[in-house]
Order: sequence, then C-alpha cells, then structure tokens
Amino acid sequence: MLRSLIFSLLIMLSCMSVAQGLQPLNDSQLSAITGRQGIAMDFEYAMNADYQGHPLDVDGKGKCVGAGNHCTLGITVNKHTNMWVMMKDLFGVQRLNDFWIDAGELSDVVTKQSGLKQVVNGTSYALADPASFKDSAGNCLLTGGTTGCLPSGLPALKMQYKPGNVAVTGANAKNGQSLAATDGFGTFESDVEWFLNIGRVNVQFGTDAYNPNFEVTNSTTGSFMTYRISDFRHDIDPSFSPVAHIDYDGRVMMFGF
Amino acid sequence: MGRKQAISTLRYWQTGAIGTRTGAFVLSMLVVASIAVFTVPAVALTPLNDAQMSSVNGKGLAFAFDDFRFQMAPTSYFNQVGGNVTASTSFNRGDLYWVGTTISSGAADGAGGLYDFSDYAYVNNQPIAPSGSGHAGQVMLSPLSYPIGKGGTQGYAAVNNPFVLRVRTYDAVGLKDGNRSDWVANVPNTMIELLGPTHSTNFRWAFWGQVDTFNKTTGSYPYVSNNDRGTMIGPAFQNQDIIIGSPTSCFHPDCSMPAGDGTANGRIDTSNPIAGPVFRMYQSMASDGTNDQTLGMIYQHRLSGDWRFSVNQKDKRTVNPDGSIKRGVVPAFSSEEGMYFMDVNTYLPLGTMHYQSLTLDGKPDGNFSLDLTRLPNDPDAYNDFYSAADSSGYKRAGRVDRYYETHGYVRWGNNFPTCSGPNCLSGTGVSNVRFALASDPDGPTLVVNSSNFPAATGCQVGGVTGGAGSGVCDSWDGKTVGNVVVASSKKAVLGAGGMIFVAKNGQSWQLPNNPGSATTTGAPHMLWVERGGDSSNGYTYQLTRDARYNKVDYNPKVDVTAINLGSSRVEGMTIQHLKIETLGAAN
Repeated sequence: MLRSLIFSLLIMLSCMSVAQGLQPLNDSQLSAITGRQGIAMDFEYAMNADYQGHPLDVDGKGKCVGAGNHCTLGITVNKHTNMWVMMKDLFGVQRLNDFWIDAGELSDVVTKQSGLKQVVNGTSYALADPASFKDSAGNCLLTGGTTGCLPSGLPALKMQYKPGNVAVTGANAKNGQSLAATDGFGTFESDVEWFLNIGRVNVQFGTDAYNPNFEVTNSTTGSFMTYRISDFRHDIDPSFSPVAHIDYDGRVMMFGF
Repeated sequence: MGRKQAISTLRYWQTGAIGTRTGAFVLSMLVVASIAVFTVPAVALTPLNDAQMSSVNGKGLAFAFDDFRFQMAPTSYFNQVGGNVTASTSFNRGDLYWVGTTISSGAADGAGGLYDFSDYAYVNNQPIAPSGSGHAGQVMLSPLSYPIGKGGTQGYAAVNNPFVLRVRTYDAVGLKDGNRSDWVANVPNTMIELLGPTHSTNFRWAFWGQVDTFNKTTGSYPYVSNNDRGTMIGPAFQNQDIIIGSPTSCFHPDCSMPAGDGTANGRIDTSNPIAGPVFRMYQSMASDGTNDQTLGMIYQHRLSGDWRFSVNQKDKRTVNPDGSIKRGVVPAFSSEEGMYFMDVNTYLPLGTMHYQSLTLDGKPDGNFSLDLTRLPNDPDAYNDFYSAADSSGYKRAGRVDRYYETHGYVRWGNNFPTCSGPNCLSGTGVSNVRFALASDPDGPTLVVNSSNFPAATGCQVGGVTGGAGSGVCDSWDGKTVGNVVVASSKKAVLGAGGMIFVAKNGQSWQLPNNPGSATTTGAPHMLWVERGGDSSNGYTYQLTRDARYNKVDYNPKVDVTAINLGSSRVEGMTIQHLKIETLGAAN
C-alpha cells in the first residue's frame, strides 16, 4: 500500500512538472489514439465505521450508542423552519466492486429487444412508446440517429458490474439467445456490499436541532424507526462481515435527449 | 459526522483497511487521475456560445435496462426493527425482515433456470449460485412455483420505453402567488418527474420474509448480543412472496378500453390502453399554511400480474429441536401451497396536480407524519378531481379520461357477472371453475356419448351397481352425469384467475360441496352407466341408477386441494385526505 501511494505521488508530481511543456495534439495524432475501453471503478464509503462496518468511537462516548453520540444525519425541507428529521446511531459501509462505465450503442440492444411484447387480455403490444421522447405538444425531442421518435440510433453510457464467467448456451438458452459469459447469470458476484445501521429516527425542532447533543439537553431521545441492512450470518457469528451481498447482472444504458 | 471524524476515518483507510492491494492501487490512481486533470493547463478548451448551447436539447435523461437482474444473497436482508416495549402498552416488539430480494426473468423457465432461495450455497462466506437449470423443465403448477429465474428482465425498461427523468411544467388547477386560498385553472407548476416504462414484459420479483416477535427489549442497535432483544415469542414467521408482472396497468379498469389523448402527463398513447408509474417532486400548493410551498410529491402506482404468498416449507431445516428458528438458515419453501392473486390490475394515485400532494411534517413529540393533503373545498378543485359529471349531470358511463387519472382501482381476476342494465359494471360472466379435489365422489362430470363411454371402458361411472331406476342408455345420450360435484384441475383453478388458495403438495381439506346446505353422510349417490349390446344391433347404454341419487339432499363433503374464491374489483377509488403518523418517538 505504501509503495502504491509513493508511486501515485510521483505520478502527480511529474504531471505538474511537465505541465509547461504540453503541446496540443492535431487531428491526425488524436485519431491514432486507440484503447478506449472505458473505465473500471472500485468505490468504498464508510460512515462512522471501519472497513468491516463496525462502529467507531467517534467522540469518546462509545461506538455510536447512547444519547448525544455524534453518529447522526439531519435532513430539513423548505418551509419547515428549524424542523430536522434526525437519523441517529448511524453507521455503515458500502462498497461498489468492479463497476464498469463505457460507451455503448443503443441499436444493439434495440435489436435484441425488438421481438418482445406485452400481452394484455390476449392482445400483444410492442414495447416502444414514442411519447416518452416528446414534449407536451407532441414534438419529438430526439435529434439525430432516430426513426419514428425512438432512440435506436443514439449513443449511450453503458454501466454494468463486471460479470461472472459462466455462459448459458444450448438447451438452457432462451428464444435462440444464448446468455453469454458477459451477462454473468450463472454466478454470484458481490458487486455491492452494503451494511447500514440507523439506530433511531425522530423529528426535532429548534435552531440547533441538528446538533447531536440537542437530544441530551432537550430530552428528545425517542425514536419512531430503526432500520438495518445486513446479513443473518453476521447475526449468528459476529466474526462474519455484517454487509449484505448484492449481485447485479446485465447493464443500464443511460442517454440524454 | 464531524470533520474530525472524516479525517480519522481516512487515515484508517490509508494504513491498511482497504481489502486488496489491487483495490488500493485503483483507488489511488483514480485520485491521481482526477488531480492530474486539474494540474494540466486547460489551454485547448474553449467556451460554447449561446447558439451552441441552445442546440443542447437536455429535455431528459433516459435509463434503459438490458437483461437487468438484481439478486441479494439469500441471507442478506432489509430489516425494519420494532420499537422498544413499555409497560403502558400491550404491544410486543416485532422485527420485520425482507430477505434475499431478487428481480429476474419472468419467463416460465426463468430463461435458463429456476431456483429456490435454498438452492444457493455458501463457500468461505461467499454465496454460490446453483449450477445447471435447477427446477426448469420439471412439471410445475405454475411459473410462480419458484422465486428465482436464472436470466435477466429482458423487456423491463426497454431502450424504446425506458425510465425517463425530466423537468416539465404543467398547467393545472392550483394557487397563484398573492392569493393562496383561491383555486383556479391553468396555473403552471414546474416539477421534476421520474416516469416508469409504460409497457413492459413481465419479470419475476421475489423475497422471503421473516417476522420475529419479542416480549421486551433492552435497547436499540447495535446489540451486544442477541439476548438484548428480549425473549422471543414463539417461532419466527417465515413466508415467501413471488410476483410475476410489471409496474404497469391499464389506464381504464377495463383493459379493453383504450386511453384517450390530451392527458395531463402526455404520455399515454391513444393506440393502447397501458400506462406506467410516475413519481413527481415540486413545490406544493395547499390551502393550509403547513403544507403550502413545501416539498410536494405525487406517486401514481401501477401494478399488473400474478402474486403468490406462501408459508409451507418442504422440510424442517430451519427448526431447532426446541421449536425455535435456526437464524441464518434459508428456508426451503414448497412449490404449490399458498394464496394466489391472479390477473391483478391496480392503479392508485397518491396526489393530483396541483391541489393534492404528499407532504412531510413532524410533531413536537418527535414523531413524523406523511400527509396526502385534503381535497380543497373549491369547485375548481373538486370538479376536476371527481370529473364524473357534465352539464347533464352525473355520468355512470362514457367518462372522460381525467376521471381515470384521479380515480384508482384494484382488480384481481376478470370473471364478473354479466349485466344488461344501462348503468351496471359489465362482465363476461362468472367462471364455473370452483375447486380441485383429491377425488371426485360422484365420478367425473361427463356427457353421455360414445366418445366418453366407449365399449372398452364398459361405459361405467362411479362404483355403485344395481338398485332401482334402470333405463335404456340411449335415453341418456347427450345428458351430463356426475355433475353434482364438479371438480377442476389445479391448473384450471389458477387459470380462471382471481383469488385462489392451494393446499400444500399432496394435502387437502374438507368442504361441503354446497356450503349453503347441510352435508349428507353415507355412501355416495352414484349414477352408474353401463354400455351394453354389440355392433350388430347397435350399441345401447344400460343405465342403472342408484335410488338415492334422486334425493335432493345429496351434498357430500369433498376433499379440496385448491379453491377459487372468485374475482374481485374495486373501482372509482379516491382519497380525499390521508394522514399517517408515527407514534414510537413519544414512547
């Protein structure tokens, strides 16, 4: 880990030192650039907890327990002045593992989905709805690469988690479409690991009602809700990580219009 | 979380809390990459002018799914923890778990495989997906027999019908600045809205649930040990929910009626009757000061498909010898038993633009409320809300589309009585499919003909022979016999739609054939038909009838394995005002 940080620091310093020597590339040089395969990302966020999700003693009062502890989050909305919805005894950890972002072609997916229909009372309806892409006057909002006010020719941002390595073919395939290894249907990957503890929730009123110590001075320690995302195996054996495991397969295509 | 805490957490990560060297390296490079971008002089960037900016047509963002699938590990859960118990209440604490939530293929065979929650294994604390096609290919009562499909949701949020996130201004009955008490038409209000797909193929949504009840608790999370929950009352209640459907439904309760045009959301195509869900957020309008100009929301809920709720398990794997539940063991639910709601179609509008909104509020005692604001007592508002009359008065038929936007409905099943009156809700007729039986006491219901009573079978129905009342079979040609008790198959019972209860595999319970009459006892009253004669003189039916068959009180108890309780519908649902308040914070 230390070597990685030093390497990263050297990279950063080298970027700064050569900044004055950079020259813009011309079109010919730019067109020679290849290897645009998207990016992969790991993300980890811990709130008042360690890597395993165990609460930290953030304020010397104990591990996110007891009145006045600092493991809180307050939310307020317009017009409700000095009214705060307080989430207390709040701790958790979330990890997104191997999240891929790349460019994609909507036309490929449109072709795959072209034969699908919704059947209602014995009548089949195509899935396409051009009204999704029209304004209130019925004018099409799509530009370029579209037919019939449908986005089939547009580019999109393709998002998915790294799939598993098992393909489903032959007799187990459906409608002539094999489930390729890139779909990841045959395996379980912990794409998202998520542990969340919201120990208490209540509403507090006051100019400083968001302050963690408010409940001590005002005796507002009650709660109307406790919420938790976890796994039974941790309940049985605390040595297991408390995170819930979630597997996402397939992909989400995002595009604007 | 204070700033000091954020820094100390980061330090902890840097000293080794990140799991793998690869992960640490990637994270570091991402940080470096973002820093490097800002350190390089941006000499090549040029600003867009107004003409270029105006060509950016950012009317909305669309999110389409391609074979999307969501699967939680079968022991991973969302948990609603019950409140602490005090001496002033007779309630006990109850903890609710939604476990192993999954969204997968709605195809009958799961597009490659069908599985139970209990088919997943764990190796080194990592869930392992079952191999092969699981239960796909097995004889099963319905696609609702198993909760998990191997494939993804092929047609949910298709590219040509995706989720759409957009900002739009709508003109509707509302309040204007300067007069917050007079509702008038054509008031603009801008809102951000998330529109669900209007058309979708069915997908499978399932989870298993658990309810734990305790007689006391010593505190909220984090527990030092499970004993902190108090003593558990009885065994945990474990159940399974499977839905095959989509969050769409017909615009009209009667799916054969098409939608109109010019509707407020502008998203219903005139050529088809199906609509999708909508969620909106905006600045609310209300006559009372509390709910005016705060966060307002509208949610139009839609759902169609089939739902099965079951509790029966194949074995006792989750049960300890003392009857308590083994926590963390995934139950194995049986494939047929349960309460079924088939051919469901629902629409529930929570809020109407712009005079009825979902708003949030708090109470001085710390509790929280969700308010669907009161329908204003103003003709512009309530005439728009009801939309059930015109200049000639109240209309029972031929209503405008606005009526169907503001009025919800719930239907399960489609078999409603026919009617001929001008103002009745029409139907295609009540189904005669009632139940499936372990055995039919008066024999199968059949028409007497050579096909149903061929010579080879001896033209025999039932098992009682002899007795008075013999007659020539020909006189019974074309008549129906064995029709006092009419049994259907389990598949037919489910196929008829509506509300159905199915017993666990191989089990049954008893009901009178006619619940409106007393049951009769003794041997069954059989009609016995025998086919005699030969081909030279034409086959004849020799009919022997048991004398007791003439009795009108023939009403045996039957062994029922599945029963259809019929179809049900509620239409024209409106909510004039709804307020939900929590109580726990004041305890």
